[in-house]
Amino acid sequence: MTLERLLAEDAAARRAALDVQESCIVRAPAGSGKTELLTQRYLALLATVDEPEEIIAITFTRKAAAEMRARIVSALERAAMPAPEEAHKRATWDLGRRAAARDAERGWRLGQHPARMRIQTIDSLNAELTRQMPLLARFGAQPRVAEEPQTLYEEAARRTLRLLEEGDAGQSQAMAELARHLDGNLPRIHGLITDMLPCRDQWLRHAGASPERAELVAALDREVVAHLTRLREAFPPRYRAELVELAALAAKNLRSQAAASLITACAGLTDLPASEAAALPQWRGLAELLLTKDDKGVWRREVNKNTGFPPEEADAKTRMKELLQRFPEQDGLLGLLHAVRRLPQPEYAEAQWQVLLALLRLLPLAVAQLKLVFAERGEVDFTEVALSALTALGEPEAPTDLALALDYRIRHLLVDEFQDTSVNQFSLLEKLTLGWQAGDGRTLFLVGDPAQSIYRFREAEVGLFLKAWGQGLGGLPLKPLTLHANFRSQAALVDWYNRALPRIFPTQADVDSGAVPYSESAAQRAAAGPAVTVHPLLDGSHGLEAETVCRLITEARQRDPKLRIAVLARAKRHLAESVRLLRRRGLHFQAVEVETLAEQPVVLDLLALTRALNHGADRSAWLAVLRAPWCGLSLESLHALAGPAEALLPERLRAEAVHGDPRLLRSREVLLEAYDARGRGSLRHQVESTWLKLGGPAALPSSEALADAEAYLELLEELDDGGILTSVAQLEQRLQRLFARPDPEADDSLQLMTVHKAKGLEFDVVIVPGLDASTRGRDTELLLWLERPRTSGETDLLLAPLNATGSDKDPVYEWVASLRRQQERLESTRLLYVAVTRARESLHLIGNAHLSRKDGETTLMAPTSASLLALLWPVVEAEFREALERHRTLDASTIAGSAPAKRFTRLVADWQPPVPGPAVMWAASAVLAREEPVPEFEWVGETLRHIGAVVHRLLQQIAAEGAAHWDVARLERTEPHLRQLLAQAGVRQEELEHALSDVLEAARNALADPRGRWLLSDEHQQARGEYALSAMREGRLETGIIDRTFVDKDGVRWVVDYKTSRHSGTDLDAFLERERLRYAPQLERYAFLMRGLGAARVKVALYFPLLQRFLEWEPVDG
Amino acid sequence: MSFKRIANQDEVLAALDASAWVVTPGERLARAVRLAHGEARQAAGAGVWERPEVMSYHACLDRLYDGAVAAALAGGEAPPKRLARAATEAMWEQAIRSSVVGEALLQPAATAREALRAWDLCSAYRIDQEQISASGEQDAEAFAAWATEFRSRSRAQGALEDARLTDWLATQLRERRLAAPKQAVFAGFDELTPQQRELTESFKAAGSRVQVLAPEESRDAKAVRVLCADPETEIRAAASWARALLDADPSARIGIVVRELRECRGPLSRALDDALCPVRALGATVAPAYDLSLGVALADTPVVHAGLGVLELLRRRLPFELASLLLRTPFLGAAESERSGRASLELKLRERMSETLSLQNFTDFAGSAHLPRLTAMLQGVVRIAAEQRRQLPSAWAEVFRRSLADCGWPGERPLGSDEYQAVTRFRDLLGSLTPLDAVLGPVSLGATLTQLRRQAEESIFQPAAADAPVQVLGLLETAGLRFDHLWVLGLTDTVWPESPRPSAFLPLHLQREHGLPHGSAAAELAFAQRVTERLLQSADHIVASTARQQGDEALRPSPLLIHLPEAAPADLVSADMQAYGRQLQQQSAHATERYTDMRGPALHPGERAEGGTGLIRSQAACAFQAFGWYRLAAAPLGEPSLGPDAKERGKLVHEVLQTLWGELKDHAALTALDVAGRDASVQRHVARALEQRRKEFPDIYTRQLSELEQARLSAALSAWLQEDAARPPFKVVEREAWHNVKLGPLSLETRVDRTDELPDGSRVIFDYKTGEVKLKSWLEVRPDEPQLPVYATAADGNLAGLAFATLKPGKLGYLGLADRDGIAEGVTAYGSYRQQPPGVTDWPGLLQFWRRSLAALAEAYARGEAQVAPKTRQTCERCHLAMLCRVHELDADLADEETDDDA
Ligand code: SF4
Repeated sequence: MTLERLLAEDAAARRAALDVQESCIVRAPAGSGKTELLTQRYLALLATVDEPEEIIAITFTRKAAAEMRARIVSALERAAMPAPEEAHKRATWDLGRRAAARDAERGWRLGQHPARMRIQTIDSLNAELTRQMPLLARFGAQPRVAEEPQTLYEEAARRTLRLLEEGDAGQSQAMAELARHLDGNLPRIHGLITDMLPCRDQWLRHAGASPERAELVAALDREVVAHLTRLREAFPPRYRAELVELAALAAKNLRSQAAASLITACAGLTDLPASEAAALPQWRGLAELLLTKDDKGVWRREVNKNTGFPPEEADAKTRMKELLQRFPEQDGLLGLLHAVRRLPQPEYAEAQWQVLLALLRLLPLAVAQLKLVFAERGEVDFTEVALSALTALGEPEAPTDLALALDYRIRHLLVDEFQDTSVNQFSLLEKLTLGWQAGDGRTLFLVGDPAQSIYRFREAEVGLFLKAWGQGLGGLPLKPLTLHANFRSQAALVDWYNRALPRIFPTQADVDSGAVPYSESAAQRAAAGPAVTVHPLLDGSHGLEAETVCRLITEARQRDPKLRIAVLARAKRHLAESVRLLRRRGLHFQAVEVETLAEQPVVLDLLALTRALNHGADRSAWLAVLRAPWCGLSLESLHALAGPAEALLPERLRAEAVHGDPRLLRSREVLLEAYDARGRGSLRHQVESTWLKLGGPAALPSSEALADAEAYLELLEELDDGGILTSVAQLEQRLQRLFARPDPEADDSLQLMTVHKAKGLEFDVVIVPGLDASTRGRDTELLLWLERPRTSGETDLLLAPLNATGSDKDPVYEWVASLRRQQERLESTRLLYVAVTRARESLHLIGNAHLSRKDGETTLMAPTSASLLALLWPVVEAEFREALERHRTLDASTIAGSAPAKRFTRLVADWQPPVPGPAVMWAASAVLAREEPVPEFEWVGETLRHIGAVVHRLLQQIAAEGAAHWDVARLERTEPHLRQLLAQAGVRQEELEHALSDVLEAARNALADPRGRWLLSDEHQQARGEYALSAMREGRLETGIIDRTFVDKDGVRWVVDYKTSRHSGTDLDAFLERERLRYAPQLERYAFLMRGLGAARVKVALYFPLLQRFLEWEPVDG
Repeated sequence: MSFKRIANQDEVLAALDASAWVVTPGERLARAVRLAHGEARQAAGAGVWERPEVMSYHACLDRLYDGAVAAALAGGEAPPKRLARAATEAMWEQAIRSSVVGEALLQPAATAREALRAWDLCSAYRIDQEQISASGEQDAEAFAAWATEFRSRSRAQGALEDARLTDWLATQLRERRLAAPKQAVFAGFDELTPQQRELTESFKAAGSRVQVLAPEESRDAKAVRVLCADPETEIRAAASWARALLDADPSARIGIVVRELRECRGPLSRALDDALCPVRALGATVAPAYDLSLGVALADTPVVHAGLGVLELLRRRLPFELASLLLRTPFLGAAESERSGRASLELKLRERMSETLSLQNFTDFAGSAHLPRLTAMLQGVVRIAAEQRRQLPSAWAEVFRRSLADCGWPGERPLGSDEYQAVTRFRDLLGSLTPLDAVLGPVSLGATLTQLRRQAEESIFQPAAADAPVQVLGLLETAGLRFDHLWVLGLTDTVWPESPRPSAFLPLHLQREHGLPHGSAAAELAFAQRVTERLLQSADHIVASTARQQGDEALRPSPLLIHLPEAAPADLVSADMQAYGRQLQQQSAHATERYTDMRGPALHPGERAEGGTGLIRSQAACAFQAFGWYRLAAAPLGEPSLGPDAKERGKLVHEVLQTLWGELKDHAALTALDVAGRDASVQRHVARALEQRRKEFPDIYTRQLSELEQARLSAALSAWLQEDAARPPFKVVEREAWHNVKLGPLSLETRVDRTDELPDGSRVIFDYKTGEVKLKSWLEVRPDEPQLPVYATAADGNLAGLAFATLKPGKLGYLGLADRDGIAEGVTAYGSYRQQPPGVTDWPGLLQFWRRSLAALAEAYARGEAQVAPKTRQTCERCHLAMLCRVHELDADLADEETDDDA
């Protein structure tokens, strides 16, 4: 298309996108300003709705949601200002004004309450749906979403394994079957099941209902037929007859030589073989005839005796060679034909079938176990929330009435990054829009770029975009719109995209494999200097590559120091060397989730400290603590201290004799103290405070390391379970998955990250190293599955269980795996697209090609097929060839590097920690510095305590009324009340009667005893029960509660406490004396308080109604 | 006294002097009122005074209920039973579980809490159950049904939960059956709920003079807002600000208000420690100058956590982690005196590999490890655990107490004050199981433990603290309080006002109509405005801060604060109080030195080299590894696994083959047996060996697993004997025989798995392997598998060959090298072997090669060489010593060398 046509289409699309009556799907390539478009659409919708909640905008990340919300808020704010000059801002301003007017009209006050706008990630939408429909979602209360669900999966898998022992016969048998299949390797099985659980939403649909064998085999058969049909059609009709004739001839020749070649199956061929499984041998024969044997399978250049063309058949041989030369132009044929070699017979080997049955039984059990784990921990994963949201929305036949549950009817849905939608998210959208019709005032607006779909590992299915593009979503037709304008990249870059990318992208869209053709862009920015540079390395090392990266950064900065530069790679480890080199050069940069924490020295030191403090016998950890920079013992000293294998290092440290090293002296005290105080305070606090006391941070080279330490300590905080480290393995695993923090001293002018992280970002200069690296393939999976939509409209399911340990590869499994690999390859193309389109000004591609030196001739080797370079090869091969020419004449440039002679860092021997800063002074700080003694803990009889409480309550009541009003009869009438009081206080049913009798006895005694009657009589002056007095004591408010107090007729102020002790021993007086001593301080404190209130003469007493004793004394003043 | 702790301070204090009740929303304000009162009295010269009647709303209900008790004791009618909160929840849970919808829920207990919260709202806002069930909404209908069920259950017990008890008490007041104070003041309520309003009316009806204090009108508070870079900076700014204020005026009252205290409790307290009392970061137990209103869950305090662990023992089967915890915790009896023994036992248990073990086996292990106290404790638990029946929660509580006491919980180390408080709280928590008796009836151990754990998790434990000058509180707790200076953190536009979160169980239109606080957008906005207004008047100087950025998300200040004048952080915070750690790091240039240390002490002449050929293998892999592992005895920490791991399976194979060949003796005997006979023999030996291992590791070799292993191993060995049968005649002359091999300066104990003698008298030695094997692992200067080569160095001319005998499925058979062909399939004559090391072309040469290269390794070991020189990166991945060898510190240097090579 011409530039004008592109721009015209673009403008039309943008206009159409603002038609709020219409549902659309927009293809928005990189740099096309889709966020602005979404914002505009949202504003346009706002002007039409009754409540803002009727619009839901779904973004891919929280960050994107925040950005969109901010844009809308500012558009609403700007509505009050004069119209902007620029035309493109004007459009947004207009829409903003209309939305603001609607806001005012409806009284929303969005400016005050921006959180009302439902701009959210799909996870948060799911959470909201399940929260508002607790029953339909089957959650009840909303569970927490686990940040780290791995442990939940592991636990569920563990429990599934236990079914071997603890399950019913069927379960145990299924597990045994699987165990036999995998050589009884339980840890491996555990791992495989664990790996199946995160993606259960995908296979659950299939594993739930056990499919019939015939059904699955039929599906396989259709798979084979479908493939062969396509293959058959791909053969150009004009060569068919020739091919068939030659193949039959070759087969005949080979047969006559009794050669064991696959080609012999083609004997007697009169037409291309049929598209059916029975014809597979013939197809394989053709493949053998036409393609080389190796993995790649390219068209043969030569034919000979082995392929059925002995020298005497010179004529046929020439015809065959001619025929072969015509094939390469045939797009796709080669791949289809080569694939025939792996196409399985549509059947399951018996052993595979048995294990498939076992799996179909076990996997749902594993999910059931997972649910139990969820329930126990009150924690779920995102998948569970998504599945529950789907459940809550109901089935198409019986949809849930959302309006009731959600308060507002959803009228408009906007979805960003639609290309990274998963099957489940797609069904969520289908359910949310069920019954929507074009023109009914409800609209769907999908935006995305299928060329940027790179989240397959998170179940994104780019095919869904293609499907919606073609067929709409659910029953709702969508108007397809394509944007072309690129506002990001300068013209020369866009030009390169348009030239290079079509050669890499597939030409045909395919929903199944997710093939997406390239869509052209139209530059909006003028060309500005050189755009794309390829840096071919030849037999280079990672070091050389890193060196190139550094050089490019330096050069770019020399050109313009303000440039924002990014180094993007497919995988983290492709950046490792660059990170190291940049750091050594002292360049600051932000490495976004590149280096794992597990390899940072400071983290390992802290890990050692954590392990040591948590385990006295963990020798490796203790030795490491002593070797760590804060202590830095020499191997000599370490050896002297280590002792025999069974020795415990903390005890060796404790033993005075063994240490003379001054380095040890400095750390020893701190370590032993910390070890003895283990379990005091949080795990983090124990480790961190010890680390600080040891002077750990003083040995850190940079504040970056300090940030890493902080990340580690935060992890400890998260894993803390009662102040003790529960599992070393878990901690170490988590460290592998955590990343070093970005350098706090770096701004965003230089960033290193994976392409996935760079999604949605843009940089002036983009450097892509490691193009030649291949990614690690996925590990084997327990069960592979693949859905294959058929032309009939149905969807076939291909299921393949992992083959048995030690047995040959299962063809069905391999086939499904190869289909998946194909999808992966297509995704790599898209990844490359994302990487290169991040650039605004210039792009650098760095790749390494290996050279092969044979017979004195140096040639380029083709890049490995799993690498990005292989994809780019058609575009960059020429540059590599040129480089090869230069290489022959040039020397490698010299790179300076200095290897420090000294290798480890430690604190100097006489280092002393600085004194920490002074504490702030405040009113009570001096008082609080005094430590109060902590009493020893005792188990007291629960019931006794409760009896005491009820006796107190009763005596208080009696005293309040006056003992004169009470007698035994009245006491007995209160029995039901007392029983209730006792029960409520916590006395157990079986002890209730005995407790009650104690209470009654106490009260009876008090009423019978003259002393008691006196105490409880209402004749006294200023009598009070449960009398609470307060005083300030050294800045603290202190309160004492006196059971009974009054002034007797002699003017003596009594302070009495009731004690419901019993005593069964002989020496009652000795017992009472002990009680007196025990309570004297408290009573005398009360006396002190009473005096403070003005009492002159105070007597204190303990009253024991059950013992019928009364102890009184006169406390000394003060 | 000019200073004010609370809003409307003068009015409140005057009322207290007049013996009024002062009712506050929560305990925190009540405490502040009491303090204000105390300070006022003290200022007025009083030393002692009667405690004023200040109470939280909840305590007010207690108080009224006690009045009803008094009335009953005085002869009146008995009040209804009062359902404790836990019992109320349990009853709701039962109601939910008994419904059809309730059965399917993932979280019935948490649902009960949610439903109860909705129920409280219904009472508070006077929402009628009829209206709820009529709404046609499924969740609401279910809720209404549960409510009906709940009511009937509570009625059956004659009990009321607090929500309805409040109404009952109100009625009693109105009908003057309950004494009311002369005056009642409600202070600090942002807004009274209809139910609370009715209660105040009842007070009036009962003759009280009631005052509901409106939030105080503005004094001239000065408020500003600031933007900080990120939440971390924000927190540290607030802390430094507080420090500066206190330095200037030690009597200043400072508040720091956080919306989500739970989320930033840790960072906030650390920042405050660093700013106010730096020694606390170093572990000193000095009282903090701040009071953080949120404690940790009781269940998470170390001492209670250990206590709960003890109770888990009653289940009689424990995961390894629990065993490990109990062996390491200081909170058990004799935890100090048996400290070392227990730690060592933990290591041994790791080697036993089972992921769970039975209580009985655990006890036996403790016994055989000579830990008398631990053994006795565990035996006690075994006895207690023997009676596992359903019983009342209170009876379980008794069992729990006994178990804890028997286990010497909370340990022999003297308790700290916090620990003591936690322990007592936990003791009380056990008591709180009793009220559940009536609701739940007899329950299982598991259910009770779950219940207890949940209560311990929900019970927030906060050690009693003194009145500190800096108060850190949640947004709602500030109601009614006053400060000199207040800093409000984190009110960003997405959370303040928040998007409404209505209760899912109540129909939305009702929530809107009744104005439930979070029931609608309008209510949410109104709520936020009300609270903001109040906040902005609660101190003389106010700072509201927000972060610009959190992670990669941009943040904006709440629109409700945007009108405040903006201040720069530097205007408020003069100097950032640096954390001690940062201070240290900044000195690092002067504090550190670089050093090299790559050799330990040499082995004494005559010192025994422990570790046999393993040490040669290590030495070959990495000199440091050998030094660390064998000289320093830094063994790896085992990890329990789910079944027999590779090592254990190897042992099993060795054991079977030892006895099998002990019986068969030679090729002739083997071939004399027919296939069935061979199989039978294999079966028998496998069974015997399994039995043996099972005795030793009862927790690993469970019944089903043993059967599987029996079948698997028998099949593999039968197939393998097939290979042996196909060999030319041989005689097995040694099985698992130990030999002493002199290698350079070392004398190594090595074991050869099997030695065959061939008819010509020469010998072949074998190494059994269950995994992948490669001949290359013998033929490098740093060999991966030096076991047989080491032996070969000592062999006389009689040694005809060496071979791996591998049992890996799919790879069954031999792989070896010999002086000739024809020893067995897979054993190649070295002379014709393709990948010989350079210059080593024949069999004697090979033996010579080994003598030389292995002796070199032995010598390096004896010299104490300890270079951090892994053979490959993978060597490190398989090694446990990275912490000790510091290889990652060298990483950069290693890379340097590589770059140099390029140059
Ligand atoms: S981790 Fe690597 S360098 Fe360190 S001792 Fe082990 S093998 Fe050697």
